[in-house]
Parts: sequence; structure tokens; C-alpha cells
Amino acid sequence: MATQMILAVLNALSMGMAIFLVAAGITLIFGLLKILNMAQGAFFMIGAYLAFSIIGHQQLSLPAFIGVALLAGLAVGLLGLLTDRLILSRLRHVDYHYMLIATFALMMICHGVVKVIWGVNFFSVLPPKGLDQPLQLGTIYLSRYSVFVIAAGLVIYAILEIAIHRLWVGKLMQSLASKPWMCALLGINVSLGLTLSVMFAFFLAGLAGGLMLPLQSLSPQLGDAYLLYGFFAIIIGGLGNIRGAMLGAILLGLVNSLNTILLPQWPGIAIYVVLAVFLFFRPEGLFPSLAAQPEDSSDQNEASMSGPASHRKNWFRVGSLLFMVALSLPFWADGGLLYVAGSAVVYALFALSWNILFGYTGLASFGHAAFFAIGAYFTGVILRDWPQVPFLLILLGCGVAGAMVAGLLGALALRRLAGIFLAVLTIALAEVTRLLISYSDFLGREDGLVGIPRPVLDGLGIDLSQSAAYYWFLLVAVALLIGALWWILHGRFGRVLLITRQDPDRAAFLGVNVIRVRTMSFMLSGAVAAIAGGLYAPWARIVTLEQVSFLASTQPVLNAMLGGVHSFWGPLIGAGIFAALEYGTRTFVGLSEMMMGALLLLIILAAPNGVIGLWRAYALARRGGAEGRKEGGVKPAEKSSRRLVDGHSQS
Amino acid sequence: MDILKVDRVCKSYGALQVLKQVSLSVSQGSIFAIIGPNGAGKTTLFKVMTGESPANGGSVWFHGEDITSAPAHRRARAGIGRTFQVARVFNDFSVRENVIAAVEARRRNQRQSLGRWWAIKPDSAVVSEAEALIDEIGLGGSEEVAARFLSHGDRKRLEFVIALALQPRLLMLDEPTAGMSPADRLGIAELIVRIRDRLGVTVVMTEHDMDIVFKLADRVLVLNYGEVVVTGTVEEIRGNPAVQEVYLGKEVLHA
Repeated sequence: MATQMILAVLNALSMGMAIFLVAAGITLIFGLLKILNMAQGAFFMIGAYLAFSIIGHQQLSLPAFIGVALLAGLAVGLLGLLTDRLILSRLRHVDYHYMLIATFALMMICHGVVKVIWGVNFFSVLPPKGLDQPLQLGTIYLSRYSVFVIAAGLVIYAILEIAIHRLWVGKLMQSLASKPWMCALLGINVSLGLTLSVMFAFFLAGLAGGLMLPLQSLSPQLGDAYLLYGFFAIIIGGLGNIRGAMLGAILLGLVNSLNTILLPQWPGIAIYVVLAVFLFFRPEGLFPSLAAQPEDSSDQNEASMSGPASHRKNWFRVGSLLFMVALSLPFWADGGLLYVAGSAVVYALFALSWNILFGYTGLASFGHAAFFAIGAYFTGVILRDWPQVPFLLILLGCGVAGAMVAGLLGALALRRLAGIFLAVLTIALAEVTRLLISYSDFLGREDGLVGIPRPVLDGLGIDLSQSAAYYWFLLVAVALLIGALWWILHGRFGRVLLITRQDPDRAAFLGVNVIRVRTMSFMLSGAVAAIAGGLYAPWARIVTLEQVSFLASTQPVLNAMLGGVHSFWGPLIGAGIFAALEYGTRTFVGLSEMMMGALLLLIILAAPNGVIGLWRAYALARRGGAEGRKEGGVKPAEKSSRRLVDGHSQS
Repeated sequence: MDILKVDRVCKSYGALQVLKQVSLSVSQGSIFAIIGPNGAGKTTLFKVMTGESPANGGSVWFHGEDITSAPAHRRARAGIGRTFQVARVFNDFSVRENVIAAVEARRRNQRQSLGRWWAIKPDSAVVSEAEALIDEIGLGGSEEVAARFLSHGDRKRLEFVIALALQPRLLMLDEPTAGMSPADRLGIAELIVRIRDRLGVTVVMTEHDMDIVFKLADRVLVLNYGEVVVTGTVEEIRGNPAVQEVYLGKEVLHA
């Protein structure tokens, strides 16, 4: 028993150190740039893969092993330089949500790159010589390598602690973090300082990847788990400080270790429970820091939600024409095209649900696929096991389930620091949904639900089992839902959402209960996403864990950004364009993550208001408006002052 | 009758005590100004009163109701309107949309009708109320302009309209004339008096500009090092040697 306890503690500590090394990088970047780097886990993984490429399957001596880890760290640090110059430095003055999305896109690209270079197979690496033998303490055998990892973590912690809290470097970094413009006045090269700090954070990620390499089997999923645990560690510890990250990481290691002993059939679940409890009782973390001040309003660079009224008639004609074409599709298109079109219709609704949150409420979800999957699995299981339940009732059930999950998550996430917490918690939701599905027999575990039957609309006697029939049903159902959402978002509730997005504090001093409004918006968004999932299940007839992956969560973000988040119709247009792109490039298998990530990044850097933003800019420039030149839509920093004065934007 | 009461409020940031047992009471319909040199704790006191930063001790009462830890939307619903030091308005919205949003918020707070529930456009009663307010404050003609294109003074005016659309019983102004030209300052000062006289709103303000304070205020509170030096009418404050000491320093007086 005692042996087991000691082993458990040792495991807990070594996992805690691994988490800490990722969390330290995240927390450094957050403290400095006020952004959550979603790609930190991916760079940890790249560090591990680089070290693997050097080491291969041979066994190194300890100094050589450390040397390789340092080399991996340096290489990732250089990638950090590239990232900072190309992406982060361009987005420093933009609403932080764009930065979150950019790092999310970067993560997708890293995943794609890793898969292209190293493939999707699992690799494992031997610990260096001398650390592969167990260490004997009386009757207990401990892994020397685990002890080494713990020691390495402590050494790095000590270095960081001293550098940040004792040396001039730390003072400089702290002053850069709190008042960059003041530092600039004092003659400090702010840009260089920030870049160096970012490089250092990336170096840590790469170094950790190299050091931890023998601890795990290397696969493209490696980064995800560490990213999430790293996020959780800094949430528990308090955003933006090293000590908190350390304590949070150790706590998570202990929890996970206990989980393995007490609940071996549900690995990895306890961490989420602990996180939820922590967020509920101590949302500010163990060491609340100044870096985690309530965020500013997201109103720095937004544009109005509607275009000139005079164009509305034309748009209506274009829309009707498109709808007619879509309706006629089953008569002339082949099965493949019809399938893509039907999926695009569902994804349009999904993207719209995401944009209720982002475009109208100013909050970003990075795990929206969880809601989609909840709806899809819910519908799939009921259609399979209880075919007598009316389909419309099932869809209603999807909506209720999505809203309830969103409500629960909102209660945890939306109390303080809404944006950051929501970003992390939605990722966590997607991950926990994936875990729960993969542990559940009746949800098909890793295989998913196959052969989902298509429903019959009982009361109306309409049989939807044929593709064409279900496709038409999809079109009508989605059109009705979109109409309903248009009405909701353009009426009084939409106006409350818009003022909350523009300036939450001002809205609160008008008597708007900001937390409640945000929760309601999140619930609406979750409900619509779940209904989209519910509509999708019988269309695809198969639902798998892929529906909960990061890639699936990127889909609505990309579609909405592509079309334009500052327009109701943007996400729909984006979904259409993306479906066309996907259909045109369907032969390039395996590049999807890289392509999606790169496309998303490109949009954020070059045209953050999407196709509709570009169109409005073009229309304005052609009319020679005074704002025309400002409307170039090239640099995010110039995104301010995009307003088309058109009387009442809701009318 | 006292509409706002602050009872022995303390506030410290770490070891630094910014407010030491500050008490004040504001009677209905008066203009109450808080003055003091830089770093005296004016802004902190204001933030404690608006609930932006919670007090470490003491309490704040509005109309006999303890609002020390009430969230912002509760204060607004209870009838406290405010402006910010740097005017905060809804930048993407036009002037008219800004005021309509505020009028709708007020009607929601007071459980008044917002018109037909299914309507997309704001109710005509809401629109006409908003337009009347805009005209009243002198922003007529700019209804269609997006708030982000307004001049500094007009933004401030728009923020006043938004605050007034709430029909507040108490209006809290954080340095209403900060960073304005002398002409604009006078305009805002006249506006404040007019609001009080016409609508009977009680006004609490922090202010740097002594001319404005002496012209407007019924009662003045002088704060220094987080402590109340004296509270009194403008005349009492003017002649008070302690106040002169605060502003001019001891050496000057004794020289």
C-alpha cells in the first residue's frame, strides 16, 4: 500500500512537472501579452518531435539527452520568433479574441505540419542511459527517469522564480507587461522585449517537449492533452503567475494520479471535475494577479452589423435565387454534390450559432463542436433505439440539451474574465464530451454511431428516408431556423446583445444584467448548434468522434470569419464558400488541418471582416465615400472606424 | 432627506490606505462635489460609490437601501445614472441608436412597455422619447452620426443623454469636464445645472476645475490623503484655512 502511494505521488509529481513546463510558457505569454496562446501545446509537441528526429530509437547518455532537449528548445524558440514577427506582433492592438483565434489557427497548422512530416503513428523513445534503471529505496523501486523529470521541473521553476521575482530581467518584463507605452518612453525597445519574452516562452515549450519525450508515446494528439492541462493549471493557480502555475500543475498531477487508482475505468475525468469545482468556488485562482484584471470591452475595432439599406432589396433577390438553386439541386446534381450541399446547409446553421456568440455578444467559443456532437449523438441514439419518437420532438430535445449544457458551462465561465474562461472551458467541454463518448458503449465508443436511420415525419406522413427528401427537409428547417434567428437578433434582444458586446460596463450601468445576457446568448448559441448536429446525424447517417475534434470546432469559426462576423449573413456565406472550396479540393486528403488553419490565419491577418467586410469596403470605395480609404480592410489595426451610417442599423 | 449616504468607508490597496473612514451624505436635489489634490482618493471614493471597486469596510446607502456590494445593473435599476471620466458610449451605434438603447433599458428596468414584443424596430414611443432627449441636450441634427465620429464634447453630451434616459434620481459624474476646452466646460456646467433644475436630479461629481465647482456645487467635500478635510457650502470651503493648506501647502501659508 505504502509502495503504491509513493509510486502514485511520484507519478503525480512527474506529470505535474510536465504540465508545469507547458503552463509556465502559457502563463508567461499571458502575463506579457494578455493573450492565451492556444498553440503552446502544439509547440510542446513539435519540440518532442524534433527531439525524436534527432534521437531516433537509440539511447543517449544523459548529457547528450539534455543537449538534445536544449536544441529542441532553441529550435522552437526560433519558431517563436517567426510566430511573433509574422502573427502576434501584427495583432497586438486588436481585440484579444482575434488573437485567440489566430493562435487557435496556428495550433491547427502545427497539427497539420506534424502529421505531414511525422505521420500519425505512435513512437516511443527510451530514457537516456543511467535513467532507465529503477532506483531502489529499501523495498521500493522508483523510476529514475521520473525523478529526473521532477528535478528538471524544479530547476526550471527555480530559474524562472529567481529571474522573474529577483532579477532585473523580471522587473523589465513586468514593466513591459503592465505599461508598454511607458517603457517605450523610457527608451526600452518594447517590441524587442516582447519578442524575446515570447521566444523564451516558446523555448520552454520546446525544452519541455524534449525532456518529457521518454515519458509518453509520441503522437499528434500529444499537444492537446498538455495544452488543456496547462490551461487548467494556470486557471487554478491564477492567470499570469509562475507560482500559481506550479501549484496548479502539481494539484492536477495528484488529481489525475488518484483518478487512475480510484476510477481506473474513467481515466482523465477527475481533472475536469476538480476544475469545475475550483471555478465555482474560487474563480480568481490561488494567486490572483494583476494580469488578470477584468478585461476591457471588446469594442476597439468592431463594425456595424448591417449594410446599407438600399442594397437590401438586391441581397434579397440574390438570396432568393440561391435558395431556388439549392432547392433544385436534387434534380440535377449527383450524390456527392448533393451531400456536400446538404452538409453546407447544416454547417451554415452551425456557423451562425457560433456567431451569435462572437459577432453579437463578443465572446468566442473554441469547443462549439461539443454542442454539435451532443445534438448529433442524441438524435442518432434516439433514431436508432426509439424510432417511434417524433423527429421534430427529437430536434426540440437537442435544442433543450444544448441550451442546458451551455447554461451550466456559462454559470462557471461567465462570472469573471468571461472571454478567457469561456475560451478554455469550451475547449474543455469538447474534450470532456469526447472522453465521455469514448467511454460509453451505447454511443459506440471510438467507432461512433453507424447506420443512423432517417426519420419519417409522422403527423405529416412525409418519408425522409430518401436523400432528396431529407435534403429538402434540411433546407426548409434551416431556412425557418435562420429566419427565427434573424428575428431574434434584429429585435430588442439583439440590441441588448449588441450594447453588451460594445461596452459591457456601460451596458451594466444602464441596468443590463451582463452575466445573464451573456448566458442567455450562450444558451441560444448552444441550442442552435445542437439542433444543427441533430439535423446532421440522419443526413450523414454516421456520427463519430471526429465531430468533437478541434478540427470540428474550427469549422464554425472559420466559416464565420470567412464570411464576415459583423454581418448576420456572413457565417452563411462563409459556409457556402468553404463548401465550394472543399468540394473543389476534395482530392487533397490529409492537408485539411493545415489548410483550415492557414486559411483562418490569413483571414484574420488580411481581411478580419471577411468576405462581407471586403464587399462593403469595395462598395464604399466605389461610391467614393469619405470613409472609403479607411475601409481598405488590410490591417487589423485599421479596422476601427468602419461604420456605415445608414440610419437605424436594425431597421 | 439624504438620498446617498456613505458611512465610514475604507479602502486599501495592499498596505496603502487610500480611503480612511470617509463618510458623507448628499441631500435630495443638491449638487455635491468631491474635490482634493491629485492622489487624494477622489477617484477611489467615486469607484467605491459606483461599486466598481469594492470597499474594505463601511457601507454605501441609497434611499435607505444598502448598496455597498450591489452589482452595477442593480444600481442602475435603483435609479443611479453615471458618466465615466473618459466618455463611454456605444461606438458602433449612431447617436439615436445609443439613446434608444438607453431608453429601452430604462423601460425594461421600470417594467414599462417596450411596444409589441414581436416588433423588430424600436417602438415609436421609444424613438420619440429618445429624439426629445437628444434635442433637449443639444445634439439635434447629429442623430445619424456614428458615436465613434463624435467630437470629445459631443461624446460627453451623448453620455449625459444616455445617463438621463435612465431617468435617474441620482447622477454620478466622474470629472465631467476633464480634458475639455473652456467653452465646452461652460456648456457642460450649464447642462448640469439645467438637469438639476428641470429634472430635480441629485448630482454627485468629482472635479478638478475649481471654477466649475464653486459655480455649481451646493455642498463640497474636500478630500486629502484619503481623509475628509471638511464638508461644507462653497463659502465655507473658500474661507477655510485647512482647505487652503491642502491646496497651497503649509510652507506657503506660513511664509
